[in-house]
Amino acid sequence: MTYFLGHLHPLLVHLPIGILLFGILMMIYQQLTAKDMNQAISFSFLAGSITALFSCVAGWLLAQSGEYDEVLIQKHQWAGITTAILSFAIYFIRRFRWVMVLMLAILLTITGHYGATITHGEHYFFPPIKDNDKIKAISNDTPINLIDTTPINKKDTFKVVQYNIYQAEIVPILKTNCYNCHSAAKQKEGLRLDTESFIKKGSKNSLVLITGDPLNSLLYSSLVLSIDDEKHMPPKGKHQLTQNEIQSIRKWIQNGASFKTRVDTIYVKNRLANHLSSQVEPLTKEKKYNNTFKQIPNNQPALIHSPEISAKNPDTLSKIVLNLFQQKNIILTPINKESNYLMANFVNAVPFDKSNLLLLKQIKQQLVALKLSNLPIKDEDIKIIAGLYNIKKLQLENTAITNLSLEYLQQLPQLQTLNLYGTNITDDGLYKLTQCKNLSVLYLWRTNITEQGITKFKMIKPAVKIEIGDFKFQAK
Amino acid sequence: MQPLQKDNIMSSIPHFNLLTSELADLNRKLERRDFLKRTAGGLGAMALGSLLTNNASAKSFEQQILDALPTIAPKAKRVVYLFMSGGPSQFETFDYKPTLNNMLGQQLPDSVRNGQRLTGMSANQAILPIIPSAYNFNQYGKSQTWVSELLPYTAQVIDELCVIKSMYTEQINHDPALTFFQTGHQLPGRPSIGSWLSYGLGSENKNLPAFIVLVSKNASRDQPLYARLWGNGFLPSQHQGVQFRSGKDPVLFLNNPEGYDGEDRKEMLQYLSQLNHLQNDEWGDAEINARMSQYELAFRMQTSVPDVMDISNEKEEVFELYGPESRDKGSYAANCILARKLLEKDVRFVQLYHQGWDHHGGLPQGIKYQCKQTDQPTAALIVDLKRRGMLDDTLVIWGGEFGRTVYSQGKIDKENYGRDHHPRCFTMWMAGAGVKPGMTYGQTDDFSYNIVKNPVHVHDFQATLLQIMGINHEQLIYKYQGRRFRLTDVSGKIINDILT
Repeated sequence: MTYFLGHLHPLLVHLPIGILLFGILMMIYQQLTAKDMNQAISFSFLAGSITALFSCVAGWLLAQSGEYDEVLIQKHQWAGITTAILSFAIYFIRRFRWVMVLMLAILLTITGHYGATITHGEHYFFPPIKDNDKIKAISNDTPINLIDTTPINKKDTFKVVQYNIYQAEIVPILKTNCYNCHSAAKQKEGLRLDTESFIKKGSKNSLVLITGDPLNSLLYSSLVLSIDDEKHMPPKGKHQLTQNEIQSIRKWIQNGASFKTRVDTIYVKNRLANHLSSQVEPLTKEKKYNNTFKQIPNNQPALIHSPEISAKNPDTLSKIVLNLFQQKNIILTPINKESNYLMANFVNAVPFDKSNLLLLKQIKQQLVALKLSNLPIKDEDIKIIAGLYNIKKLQLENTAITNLSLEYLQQLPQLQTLNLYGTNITDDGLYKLTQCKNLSVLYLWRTNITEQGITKFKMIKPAVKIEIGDFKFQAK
Repeated sequence: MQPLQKDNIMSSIPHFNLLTSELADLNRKLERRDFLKRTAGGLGAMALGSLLTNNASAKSFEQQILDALPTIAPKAKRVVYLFMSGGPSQFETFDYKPTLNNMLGQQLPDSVRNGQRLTGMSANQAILPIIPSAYNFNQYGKSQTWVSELLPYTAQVIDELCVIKSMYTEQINHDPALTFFQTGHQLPGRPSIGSWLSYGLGSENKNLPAFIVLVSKNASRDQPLYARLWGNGFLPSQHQGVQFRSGKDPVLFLNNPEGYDGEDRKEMLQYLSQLNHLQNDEWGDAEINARMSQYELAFRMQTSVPDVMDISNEKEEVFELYGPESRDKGSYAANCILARKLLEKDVRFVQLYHQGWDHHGGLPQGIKYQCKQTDQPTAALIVDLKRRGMLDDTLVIWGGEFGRTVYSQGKIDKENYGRDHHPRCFTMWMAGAGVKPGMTYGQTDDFSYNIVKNPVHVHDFQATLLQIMGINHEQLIYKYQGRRFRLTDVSGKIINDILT
């Protein structure tokens, strides 16, 4: 019942406003035409006073719901009560009526204004200027160069900048579309969307944000409900969000609804390339894979556990670089989807093009395994590979390399597995590999290595497993 | 050539508040099931349904799964599965049961059989006489594993193998047992292991299928094989296994018809692809994409297949290694060489089928012949992969669909007996990437009738195989006709003890 009476307030308030104003109008009319309208004037102030009284009671009941800004409510409440008292005074006291009527007119305006501010929000009359927070958020941050872009394409210069998705994208949307009813000024349904903690707290009935699940987050689902649905937001008749804004919110929630995460995004200077960068979806690792997959602890070989090798998430690599790998038919596979390490396989990259090797420099941090088997790789090509300092497994079987290559390869600090079968290397070359600290497996079948060479090598590196391919079946 | 044009819908409706992709989706002709799925709340909800489920960035359930693969760092990148079709007897190969030698002809104790149902072939026998192996066993390698004298070459590489003596299945007849092993279900219609792997991990070599099947031509065809054993089931059809044959046409219908030039074919395929693109815009059916990728792959295979099938430039020493039959194209030995070549080209899953292991009668001679055909090439494959550094990331599997009984089927004679199907225990082995070498896992009772230690169900084997390939078997899911399917269905546990 109190709920019902309370909600009559917006209806009732218009009665005293209209009736009292009409009383004032009649007083002016009486003054101008000198007709006797005192009875009608008195009656209108009586009626105005009584309806004002009812409005006050209803208004007080409505205020108890606590959905509104307390400061504004206080102001509105006392202005309203004063208005009601004053109108009773005008009815009962005939003297100073003009002074009191003037005060009443002013009070009515003030009360009405406060009331309107409560229901329609602060910017009902004067909408705020669309702010440029988004642009500021990006430009204020110092761009950080994450990738070496020079050798790829000199025309495109691009930088990787970091920005906070919540501040840069979500807040402006909420500000223009939601704050009117869900912020400090007004908390419809008890919901505020102006700070992180309030968004997480939700409305008085339920949460509005369920991380990673936009469809169950009212923050998103209410946006895409049919416009005629009671729960659709913003309510019918108000300004609606654009499709892009809705998608931004969905993506943000789906990707973990982080308020803090800063992501790398590629900022391309070149105008043509700008078009490309707009298609780059900023992603961070935990966001990408936070779906239904639980992680299984793995007990994996050395290729995976490497505290000594730190590599940035391959997602930070430029899409342009990754596309080049694809164009050149070089397969890049992550060790697994939780790992930052990549394996590169050139099995499809035929005929072999030396410049393809230069591409590998772009991923030298992430690259831990490289397969170049059965390609016409020469010693000079190995120079490039010697710079790929994180390689642990290298397959060079059936290539055209010689001892010179091994001199370059001994510079690889992480190298563990090296496949050299079917190459023209000799004992001298093998001896150079004694410099490889981490070497543990060597494949040397069909090479010019002799037994003496291996014995010599084993004296220095006894732990290295060498597969010479000398197994012969004993005939039965 | 002239590109085929289609009216741009977007240009005629300038102020429609939908993303292009959504509009394209709405304009598609849909299958009944898709239509109902998307318009769950009736026609009015169609636009909304599209908003909720088909945003350009909202990925499908399947796509999300594929994006997360491999979930675990894979130990093997490739698999070669040597399938011994028919059910090789464990008694004459790996499961050494010396106590049986004193029990020749005795009735199988009821306490061992425990009321198990037998096949119609031996259920009506008056007695179930125990028959020991006609062949001797010896211990080999550092692991001192018992191996039959029929497998002298395998015995020499025994330290590379992980022998599982405690496999068991639920099926007692060939067709359901084979289907169960390959697809995880006894009824036909589900995707086979290779198809699942092709679907989940894709193909490394873009010029060859990810799943290739080779069937020995020189085996006795006692039980049939069917293409559905390497079928894709409900997965997109580009993931079905492709059989390479030994004859003039290794892949059927791959070569151009006579008098038809390669350039003509290229142009024809380009036009066909455009037509298929139009059709795809209209229907959005995944099978259209599958068809297009198959045409493209087939075109590339016209050059890659003759290259890979040609084993003539293999060195003499290789043929010696794989044995005398290895020069005979299509034989098991030649297929082993071919398998190695395919694996070298980074084909994901190569499956060899060798029939002729179904010895209901005449087992001693039969299995001797089978072993002679397969023993040396199998061992040679291991040796060859090892010296090329490929055993590091290739998993080798050997085994059949079930085992055989301890009792003789039909007439009993020490030199001529038969064994019936036995699903309760049998032996298979794995080697290479991800599995512990020189290991024996599981144990059967003295009659090799029941498992006494560490049973491994077919689903457990499949789960372990997927694990080695970097996939948690519970996570490789495909939704079809309202149900979520897995290779291991609703069971399967990973045998961690045999993993490195």
